[in-house]
Amino acid sequence: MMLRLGRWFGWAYTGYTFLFILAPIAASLVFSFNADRFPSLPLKGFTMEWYGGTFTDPLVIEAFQRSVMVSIPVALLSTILGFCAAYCDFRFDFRGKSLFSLLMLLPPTIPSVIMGLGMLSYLSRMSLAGEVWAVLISHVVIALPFAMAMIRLRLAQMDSALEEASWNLRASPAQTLWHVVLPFCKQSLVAAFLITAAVSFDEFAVAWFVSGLNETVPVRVLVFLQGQVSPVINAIGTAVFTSSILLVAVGMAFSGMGKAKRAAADTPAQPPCGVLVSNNGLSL
Amino acid sequence: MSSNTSRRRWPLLLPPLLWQLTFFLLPLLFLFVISFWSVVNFRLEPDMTLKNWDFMLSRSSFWSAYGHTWALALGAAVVTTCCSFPAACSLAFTVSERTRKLALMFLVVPFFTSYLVRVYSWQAFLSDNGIVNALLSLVGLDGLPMLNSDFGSLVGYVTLALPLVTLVQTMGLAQIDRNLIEAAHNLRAGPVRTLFEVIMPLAKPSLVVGALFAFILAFGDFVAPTYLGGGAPPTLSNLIIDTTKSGQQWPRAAVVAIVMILTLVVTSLAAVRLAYGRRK
Amino acid sequence: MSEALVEIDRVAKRFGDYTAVTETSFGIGQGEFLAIMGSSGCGKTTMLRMLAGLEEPSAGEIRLEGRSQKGLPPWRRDLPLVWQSLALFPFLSVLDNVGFGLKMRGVAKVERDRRSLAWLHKLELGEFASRNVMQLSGGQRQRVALARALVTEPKVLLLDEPLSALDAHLSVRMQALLRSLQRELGITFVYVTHSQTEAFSMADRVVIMSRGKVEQIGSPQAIYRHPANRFVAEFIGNVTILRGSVAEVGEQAVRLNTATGAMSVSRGNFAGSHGAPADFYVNADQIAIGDEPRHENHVRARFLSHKFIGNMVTLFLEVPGIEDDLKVILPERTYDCLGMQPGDSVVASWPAAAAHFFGGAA
Repeated sequence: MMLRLGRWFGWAYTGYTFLFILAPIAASLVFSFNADRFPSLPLKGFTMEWYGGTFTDPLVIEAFQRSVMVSIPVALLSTILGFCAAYCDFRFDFRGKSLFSLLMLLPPTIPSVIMGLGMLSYLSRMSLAGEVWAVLISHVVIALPFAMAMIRLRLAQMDSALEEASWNLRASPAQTLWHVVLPFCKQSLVAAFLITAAVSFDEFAVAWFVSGLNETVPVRVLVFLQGQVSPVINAIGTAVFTSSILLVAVGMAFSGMGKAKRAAADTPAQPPCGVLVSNNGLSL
Repeated sequence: MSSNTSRRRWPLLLPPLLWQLTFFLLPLLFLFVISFWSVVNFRLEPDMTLKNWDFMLSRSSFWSAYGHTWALALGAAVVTTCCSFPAACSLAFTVSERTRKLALMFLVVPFFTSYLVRVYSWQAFLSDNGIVNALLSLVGLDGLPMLNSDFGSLVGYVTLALPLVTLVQTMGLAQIDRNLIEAAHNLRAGPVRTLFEVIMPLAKPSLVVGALFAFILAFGDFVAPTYLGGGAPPTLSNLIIDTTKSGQQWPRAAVVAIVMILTLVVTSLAAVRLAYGRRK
Repeated sequence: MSEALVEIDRVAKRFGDYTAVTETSFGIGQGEFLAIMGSSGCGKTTMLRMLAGLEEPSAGEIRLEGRSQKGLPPWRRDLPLVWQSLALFPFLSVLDNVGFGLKMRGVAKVERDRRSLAWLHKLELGEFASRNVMQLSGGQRQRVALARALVTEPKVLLLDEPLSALDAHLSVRMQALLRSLQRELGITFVYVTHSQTEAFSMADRVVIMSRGKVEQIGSPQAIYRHPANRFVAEFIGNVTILRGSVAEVGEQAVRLNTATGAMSVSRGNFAGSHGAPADFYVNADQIAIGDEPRHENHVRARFLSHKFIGNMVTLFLEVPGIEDDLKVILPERTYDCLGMQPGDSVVASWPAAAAHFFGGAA
């Protein structure tokens, strides 16, 4: 009886925790359609005004284009560099390896204000501060660790005999990397690309320091936030959230297919037909 | 083979290594360098002076900001850890694998929403005639001032850190071997004693690491103390932004940054020691 | 040695301070089925990995058809290996797994698929060609790994405990398949295993290793009948080791005084002198049990316990003055006729021809 009570209490508590986490997200969604300029209860009525205002604001449009322009190369570069770093950590033993991994993984733990100041002062000596390049470079530094961690987790699942088997079948190390390691990591590479794109799309502090007049979307939001109350923030937030979730859903679909494959492997006798078809589609 | 692998690893090792050396380590080291430079006519001039250090460290306003930041970050770590632990226990022990995965997915959702938007949203909840006070007045209670206070800052910090901390704790707790818990029950330890004598010691690393994450996030965040805490008294990150953005005093800001980094390094080492130290 | 296909010439392997394989030389003949056997950590897998080029010997060299393989990386060797974990590529179809080695040799897609498919059909996997390897059963995967290694038509196939993950029934079937494949193809198999059954049932010759050292090389029969030393005798476990001091060296046999009386042991090439201590062993399946001694050497013993292995029974007898139990192997029928109960006193006896000195017989 006591136990069951504790259990129910735990569930209720967990529910409240999730409410706390999700409340601001939900509120911003609701207020983005609220006719009242000031976010307060009771709601005044439905409007699309803020979305209309947002997506006709040239500053927002420009920022949006810039964010996309930055996040794609950032995702590409961080995924490639992250893969190199993860593979080195996985495959090779060398002196100072733990220092190497530390250097690779440390950036997200440095407060973004400090990263911003460091990047600003350093890149301005290279005459890069205030350029889009500065945002791109900083974002790769911040996003690379996420890519490395995700790919490293995938590599940890790889039987080390797999590479040896490939060498044994006369594939050189370079061929092995291309024909064995990369295909093995494919899902995590896609996931790392999506996540790093999201990291770049969401980062505001360092970008705010180094971007100068080249605002990205979150920097624009920060500027709005510094100004007066603006429901436009809710509209942008909701739009960005929706597109991020879509990206994540695509990423999940990718790894979901991987899961279906593995599930089929557990029941080798009679895999369901649908799974079989999708598997063949993937593997051929 | 060893000479072979060492030749093979350079093409893979060098690109990420050079990138992080050039664009991560050097900028941080450069901060240290410019803390000895001076600003002449709003321009940075190479120099070898201690006056920035002297200027910052001799002010009581700097030290009060330091104390304030430390207290807020520690508060955030404690509050977040305590708030998330019951939920993490609940998720780790009392729900099915499926439900847990679903819950963890919901915990990841906030990572894909702008922190800025969430903080802005909290303003609507916490302001004097905001949602919380509106609800309080419905049940006949007086409104409370919540925005522009340390409480507001803490709400922001918890918003930032809670999903991550819950995630870390849940994963740490879920890894505990169920047999150990059953063994404890079998040896006549009740639920409460099991929690304190078996689960907590086993979950210590994840508890400490989670708290450390919360501390680091709160220590460096400038959004919550500015837009929920009202910006006064300032935190160290507020100080860096004010010093950088107004007056181009980058060297002085660099001093603050270095003090922050040192604080974080010492705290992290202490926490890691606490988490993994006495396990041999 | 010169006509051996593979020559292992004074090869040793050290990892830091740890010696995985001490200096070892032996040859492997064309078309031979060689098993390397030993418990885990004995260096058998290291030996195999050195052959494949996955480890470089610390000393000595390995020659294939007279060509030194020294410094040759694994991807330049033609010594395909079948892994214990199989190491199939999970992201490739069965057909592409088999064709991988051909692809790396630059064989065009059409030819590659034709040859891979031929091998899949040969191993009764034709219908699974387009499946993902993860959808196959353990035994099927085993055969895919075999096809992948054999499709390149190597002269030597290396196998690292390939059957250890299979259940007993499947393992026996795979043993038969491996043996017949090896006969049919006429190529050399080097087969690493910890299982005596696998090694003795398939191999032409067996190498027994322990702690990095080769203890004995020989045909299964030779090893079974004449273990080279105490280690092999205990490892194979079908003999009892006794100790005595030499009393008289005769033409055919040597008389020894032991704790249980005088014994006769086949002389072989025994070269010990009068009074010297000597170990000898008695084959368990050449000992007779009864109420009366039937052979020259006999002891009175107490029956302790028994265990069934197939249709044979191993008896454990306690003999006063001997530390180890005396092991006796009898056909089940004979054992039933004896009608013994634990604790019964019996007489065990054996001819001089059933007892040998270590390393005594060729």
